[in-house]
Amino acid sequence: MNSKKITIKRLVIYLLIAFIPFWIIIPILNNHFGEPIYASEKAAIAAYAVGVFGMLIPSIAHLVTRLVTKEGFKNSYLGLNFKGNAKYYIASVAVKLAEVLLFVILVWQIFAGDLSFSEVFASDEKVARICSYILTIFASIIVFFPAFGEEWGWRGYMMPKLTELMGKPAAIIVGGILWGLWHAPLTIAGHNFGVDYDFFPWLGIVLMCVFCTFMNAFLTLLTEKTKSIYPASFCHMVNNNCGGMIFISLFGSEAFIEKISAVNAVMLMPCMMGTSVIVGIISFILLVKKEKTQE
Amino acid sequence: MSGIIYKNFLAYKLDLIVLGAMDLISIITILLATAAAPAHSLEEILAGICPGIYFSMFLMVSIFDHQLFAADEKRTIGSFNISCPSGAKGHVEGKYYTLLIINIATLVICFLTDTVVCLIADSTMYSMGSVLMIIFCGNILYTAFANPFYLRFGIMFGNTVKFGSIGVLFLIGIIYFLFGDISFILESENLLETVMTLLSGDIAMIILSIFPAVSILLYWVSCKISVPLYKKGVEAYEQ
Repeated sequence: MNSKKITIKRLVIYLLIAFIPFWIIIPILNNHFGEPIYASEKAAIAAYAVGVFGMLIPSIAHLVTRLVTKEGFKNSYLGLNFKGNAKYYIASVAVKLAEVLLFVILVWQIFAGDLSFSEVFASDEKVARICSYILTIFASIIVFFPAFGEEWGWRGYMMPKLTELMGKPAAIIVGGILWGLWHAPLTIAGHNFGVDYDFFPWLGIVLMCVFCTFMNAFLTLLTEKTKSIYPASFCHMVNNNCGGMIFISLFGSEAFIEKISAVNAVMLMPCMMGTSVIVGIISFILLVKKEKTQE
Repeated sequence: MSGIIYKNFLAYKLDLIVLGAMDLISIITILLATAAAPAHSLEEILAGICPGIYFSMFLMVSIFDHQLFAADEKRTIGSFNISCPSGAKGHVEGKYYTLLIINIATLVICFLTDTVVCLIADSTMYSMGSVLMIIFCGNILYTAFANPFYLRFGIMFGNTVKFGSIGVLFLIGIIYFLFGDISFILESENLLETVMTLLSGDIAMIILSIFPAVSILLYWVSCKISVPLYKKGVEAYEQ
C-alpha cells in the first residue's frame, strides 16, 4: 500500500472513531429527555458531562488510531517546545482576549449603541469582577485538558494528515468544515445558538462550520509554528471559558446584559465571526506563505 | 528530554502504582459518598468531603515525590548525570517536568471525578473546579519550594525542610487559634459561608487571582535555581 493510501486509511479510521460516539450519544440523550439537551433544564447536568467527556473523544480517536494502525508516536506534538516559541504561547491567549474585547465593542455598537460607555459596564465590585476574570483565564490555562482532548485529535492528528493529502490551503478549509460538522450534534442539541432561530438547525451548523474554519487556521498556525499542541489547547480553552458572552455577563451593566439577552445567539455570531475572520485570514496567509517558502 | 522523563517514570514506577491505587480509593470514596448521601444533606457532605479528598490526593503526590530523587542520590550517578549530553540542566528539568506531569495527571483525575460527582448529584453547584486549581497551584508552589533542597542537600535534609515547614505552619495556625482573633469563626453559624465571604473580599480576590501566575513563575524560577544547586549537591553526595 502506498503512503497516500495508508494516510487516507488512518484518517478515515480516526474520523469514524471521533464522529460516531457523538452522533450516537447525543440523539439518544435528546430522545431520552424529550427535547434538545442544551435547551432543557432537566438535562443541564447531562449536557455539562457530555461537554467535558465529549471533548476528550478526538484525543481518544487519535490514540486508538495510532495504536490500531501501528503508526507509533512520532510527530505527535506532545513536546512543549517552549524555547524560541514563547511568543506563540503568549499569542495563544492574548489574541483570543483581544478578540473578546473586539467582540464586546462590536456587540455594544450594533445592539446597544444607545448606551454610553459608562452605562455598558457595571460600576460596582470592579476589583472582584476583574479578579474573577483573571482567575478564569488562569483556570483555563491550568485546566486545559478538555481542550487538549479536542486539539490533540484535530490539530495533532487530522490536520497533518489532511495537509499531507491536499496541501495546507485546502486542508485548513476541509479540516475546519470537518471540525464544524463534528459539532453538529451539539448544535442540533441547542449548544452555541440555542434552538430558537430561523432555519434551525441548518443555519447553526453552517455558521459553526464557517467559525471552525477560521479558528482552525489560527489553531493550526499555533500548532505548526511551535510543533506543540499546548498553545492551541490554551487558546481553545480560553475561547470556551473566557469568551465574549462570559465577559459581558461578568462586566456588563444590567441594562447592557438585558439588551444583549434579548438578541438571538445567531445574530451575535457575525460579531464573533468578525474578529475570528480577521485572525483566521492572517493565520491562513501566514500558513500558506510558509508552505510556499518551504517549496 | 522525553528520554529523561521516560527514565524518571520507570524509576518512579512503584510509587506511581501506589499513588494510582490511592487515587482509585479516593475516587470510589467520593463517588460512594455522593451516591449514598441523602438529598437534604448532600451540599454539606460534598462540601466537607470533596475538597479534603482532592487535597489529600495532591498531598500524596507531594509526600511521594522525594522518591523521584532517591535513585540519583549517589555521587557517581550524579557525576554521570552531569556528564551526559543533556547535563545537569537536562537532569533537573527532567525532574521538574516529571513532577509537573504527575501533578497535571492528578488534576485531570480530580477534574473528571468532579464532573461525575456533578452528574450523580444532578447539579453543577457542587463543582470544585476553582478549588482544584488553587490546590494544584499550592502543590506546585510547595514542590517549587522543596525541590532545591532535595537537589542540593539530598532527601534526608529535603524532607526535614519540607515536612518541617508544614510543622511550622501548623504551629503558627495553632498559636493563632489559641491567642488570635477567631471571633469570625465562633460567631458564624455556617463556617463554609463565612470562609466564602472572607475569600470574596477585594484583597483575598487579588491574592487569589495572582496566585496561579505566581506559583507557575516560582516553579520555573525554582527549576532554574536548582541547576547550579544540583551541581554543588553532587559533590556533597555520598559515594
